[in-house]
Amino acid sequence: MDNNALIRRIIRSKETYMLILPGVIWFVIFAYIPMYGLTLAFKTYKANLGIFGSPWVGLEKFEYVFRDPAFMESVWRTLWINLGRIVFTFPVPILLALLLNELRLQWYKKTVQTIFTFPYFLSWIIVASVLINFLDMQGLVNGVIRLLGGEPINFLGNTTLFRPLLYLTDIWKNAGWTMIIYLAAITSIDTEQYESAQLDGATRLQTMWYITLPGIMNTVVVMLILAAGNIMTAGFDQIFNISNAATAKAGEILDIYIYRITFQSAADFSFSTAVSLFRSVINFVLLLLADRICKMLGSEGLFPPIRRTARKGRAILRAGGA
Amino acid sequence: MAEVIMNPEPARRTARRKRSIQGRIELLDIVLIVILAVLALLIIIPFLNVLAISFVTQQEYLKTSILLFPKEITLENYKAMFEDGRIWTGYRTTAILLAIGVPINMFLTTSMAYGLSRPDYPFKRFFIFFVVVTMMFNGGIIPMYLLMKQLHLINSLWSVVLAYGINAFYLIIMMNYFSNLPIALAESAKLDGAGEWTILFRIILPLSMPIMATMTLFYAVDRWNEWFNAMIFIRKGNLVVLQLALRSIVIDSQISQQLNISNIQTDKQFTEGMKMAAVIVSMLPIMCVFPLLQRHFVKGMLIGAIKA
Amino acid sequence: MSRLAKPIRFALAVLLVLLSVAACAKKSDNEPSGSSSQTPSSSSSSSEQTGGSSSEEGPDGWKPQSDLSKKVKFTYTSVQAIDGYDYTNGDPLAQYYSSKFNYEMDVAALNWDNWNERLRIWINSGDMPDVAVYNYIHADAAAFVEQGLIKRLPDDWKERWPNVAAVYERTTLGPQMEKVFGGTYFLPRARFMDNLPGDPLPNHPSIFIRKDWAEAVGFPIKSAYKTSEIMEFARLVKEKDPGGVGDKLIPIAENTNHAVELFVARNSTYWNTFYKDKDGKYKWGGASEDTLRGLKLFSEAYRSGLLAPDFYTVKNEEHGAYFNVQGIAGATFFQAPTSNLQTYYNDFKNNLGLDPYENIILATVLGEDGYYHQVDLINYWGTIIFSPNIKDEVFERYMDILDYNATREGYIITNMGLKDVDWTYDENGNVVSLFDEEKEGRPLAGTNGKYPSWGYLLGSIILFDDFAFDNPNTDERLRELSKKVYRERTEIATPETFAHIDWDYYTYDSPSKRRAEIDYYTEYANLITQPGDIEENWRKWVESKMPIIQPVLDELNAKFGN
Repeated sequence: MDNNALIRRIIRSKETYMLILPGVIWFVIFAYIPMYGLTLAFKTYKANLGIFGSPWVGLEKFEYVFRDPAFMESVWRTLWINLGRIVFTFPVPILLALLLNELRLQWYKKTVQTIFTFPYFLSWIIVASVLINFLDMQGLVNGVIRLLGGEPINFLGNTTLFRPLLYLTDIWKNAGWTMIIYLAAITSIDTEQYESAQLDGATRLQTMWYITLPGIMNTVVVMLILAAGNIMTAGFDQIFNISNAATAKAGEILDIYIYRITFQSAADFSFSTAVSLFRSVINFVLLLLADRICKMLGSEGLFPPIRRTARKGRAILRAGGA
Repeated sequence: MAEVIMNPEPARRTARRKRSIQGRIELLDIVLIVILAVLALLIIIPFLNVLAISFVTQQEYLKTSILLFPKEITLENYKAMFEDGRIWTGYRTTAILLAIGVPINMFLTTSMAYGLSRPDYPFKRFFIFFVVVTMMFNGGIIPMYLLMKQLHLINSLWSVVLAYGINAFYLIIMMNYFSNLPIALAESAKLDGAGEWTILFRIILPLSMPIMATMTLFYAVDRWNEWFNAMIFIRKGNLVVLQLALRSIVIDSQISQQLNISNIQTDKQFTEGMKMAAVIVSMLPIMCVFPLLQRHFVKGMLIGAIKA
Repeated sequence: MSRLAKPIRFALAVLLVLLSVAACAKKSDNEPSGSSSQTPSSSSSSSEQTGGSSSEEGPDGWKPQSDLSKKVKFTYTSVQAIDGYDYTNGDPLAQYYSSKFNYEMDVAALNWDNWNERLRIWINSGDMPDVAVYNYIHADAAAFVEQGLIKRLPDDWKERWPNVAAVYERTTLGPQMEKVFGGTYFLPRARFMDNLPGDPLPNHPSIFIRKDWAEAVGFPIKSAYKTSEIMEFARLVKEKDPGGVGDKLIPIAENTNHAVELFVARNSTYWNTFYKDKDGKYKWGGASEDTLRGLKLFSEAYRSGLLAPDFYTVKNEEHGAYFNVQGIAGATFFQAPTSNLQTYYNDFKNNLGLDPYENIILATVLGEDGYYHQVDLINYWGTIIFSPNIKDEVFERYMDILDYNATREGYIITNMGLKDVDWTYDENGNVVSLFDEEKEGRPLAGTNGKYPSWGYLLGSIILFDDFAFDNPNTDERLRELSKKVYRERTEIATPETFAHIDWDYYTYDSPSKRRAEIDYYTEYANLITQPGDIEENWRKWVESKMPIIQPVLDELNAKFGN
């Protein structure tokens, strides 16, 4: 009886399945089939035997992973760097959005908005070349410092300046884009609130603090959870392009570690697969955790709404493009 | 219904009302204008610096420590880069990738996102999970390469096109957007006997232009900046993508890395200038297209926010 | 529908249709082009006769082992190639070879920053090009051989291609690996063939010093300096700025790698490897006192501003240009292969307007103990490997090219260009150059040169340095200088400081050893840029590496120690 109902529902939804079919086929071929490669984490790769035929070695690779002190160091470093990111870079776009929202010259607002958003669309390779050129010892900033009679500052090779550098360049590239998301959220705040505030004689700063900010709190929370979910992965491209020998240690996050052992030493694809798998698992756990927190806070979680009327579903992940 | 979704009216109303109530410029406005101008300059100046370096000679570069407006403009750096032809190959390949790749991305993503956003059908949760898993786990480069080899796609641009078919993140964003559209529209069309594909194309997509534009831009930018897959899957010199072409121009203009190597050095050029010219060249198209598209994706975000 | 939405919807719809049409069109016109590239047989048959019997036999009585009248097509990959260049017909030199040997060559160019990775992925996927130039890494190489991922040469290859075999014997690596693997899998490309400049073989990087500045600050002119002497020179330059450079002055211009070589490697023979000590036990070079001595000097040079404060941000090898193009450096430790010196000196002259022979000191760097430190350089750079799936006729043809280029005539062509165009014999049978770079307005090689296809790609098994000693295109003074520098290095050394290769260690492979591969350049540069006492930092670093180093030491001592 139940089975029949299910089959009937499936048949009724056959057009929906047709819609998702091309995408599913793509995922199966180009994402799921290659996933058998993950078994390499428990094998020793022999190219001539193929991934299937390669001999199993159990957890041997993981033993090696944990024996290398650099590995656990990189895990902690990843956590610290990306926690710092949340503390220091996360509030910036919110602030920018609040400021920009108060701006009343429309053409000026548009121009500034365009300028702020633009760097987001450039790859880190380009952004890094631009910023390194700007900040290095012969760069423009140090040129100005010299002109003013100061000692040039070694921005790029200083371990203590490295994290601030990461956060600042992150802001430089991405804050403008995230700002747009908040700006969008601001426009959805009920205008009546502003009107009554004005009638009460509130200043603009007061309005900003008591109405605008609480009005976008929902979006802020969602973005925060997303950032938390990215804590193990954020920053590879950035650090890869911005660090150098002097900051290599300070910037060795887990992904950089994986890259290093995969490509810089002799090839051991099994070893790097093992580490990648380990990272994926941590990530997965973090994502589930974020989802739980999301739900506890009364949001719908990262796994999107399943309810019959999906219209009320919050656009949680919509923001995730940033 | 559609009116509400499509129209970012509240935003305008707010602005208009504010202006009418307090039309005069306050101290706050001036402070704001100044702060934002400084921030904008912080973004513009590094680019200006790069632009300036790309247009000067080595002599001027060495003499000037603050280079924003070159005294004498030279095109040598650009000439050197365009002369060797690789850059054109790069542009051509990347243009083809965009022309084939982005429509495929959009087709796969849109249809699947819409399908997944449909309210209630068996295994919906499974399929969403099916997508999310791929965001976390991947098999690595070797199985991917073997797959492409099996499909006889090595050395064909199709390998690059297909390896990046759907970005699961974008898919979910889009799915959420669709789930937020009023369901009644689709339902009534369904009662009129329209199929899901028809509904998608005739009713949903017209309502979704801002998100479509946004996603198109995302995919286009990704394709534009793409190099890793191309590096691994393609060996033909005449199918080099732009980013790799730029890399090889900039790097080949110098001699080898630290290797115990005997080789012949190619002629010395003003590498800093060449490098900056390369940066400008690879940025230019994004710079041109960006302001045109920007309007759309801002709108996409605005509308999304109203619904939220 | 709002007013706004309509035009956008329309435009988007049109765009979508257009794009999808474009996609379909692309699909269909891609197919024929794809298939056309896979039907070389039809096109090759028409031009089959071109190779011609004229070149069947060279003047030296050289004979090919394959039937040159039959056209072959093959794929090839090497770093140093130019992306998208037509190596079959792109220039007269390429044409000369492709018609003489009747082939069509499809070249995949690799870049310096990713060539190992790309080639490794291709080989490991069983999909390498027919022929490749491979940077020999023993651990990988052993795996390739064991798994049959590269071709084993036929046992009689030395008889069939004797010229290649002669070069092979000179490389040391080739015969050694043949012993290890029980057959030939790799053809190392020799750096020196007729003119081995020293035994053990020194490497070429040398210190370039501004002679005019040295004279101005009263620094002695010698052919070999200790590291501390070079630092002394740099100190003087920094103080007096004899060139009047100002802010941009860099006393010693280096990048990460060369800085580490200058300070650490020139003081510590085993700075990046394991070694068997006098007591018969294996030790790790990273923890040796010599390494510490080098690091201390390195740290001092960095902290006192003798190196650029951000030397590690120098990408590639731009530091060489600080010296010879920009003229802002007092000294640079830089590549100095003989084949490269002429260009380097010419650039110095053209950019600075100074006579390089009067204004550059090219010298050897010694350790603080006054000896030259190095481990014997194996006489090769890059090995030629073949795909296990290569067709016999292709393999034979390629070996023919290699063999021809190892004959006297081929050797000259690969180094000087076409006979009677770029060079010829005088009545005494000596080689005379007909190429004048000034008149031609471009160099022989390079992307903007006369023959972009030149040299490396056409299957040379002898690299340029050897010939550079005799090359009439290089100034006599430079050739003499280069020979002297090489010779002296071998002389100013003891067997301890300039050691021979430990083949036991070299050919040993284990998972632990693989995992103990360290990027020493980055690690050392990182060490000396950190604040705090260098010795203290170094101790901590050694300690932190021990978990991956100790297992290797244990294995080595158990196996080879005594």
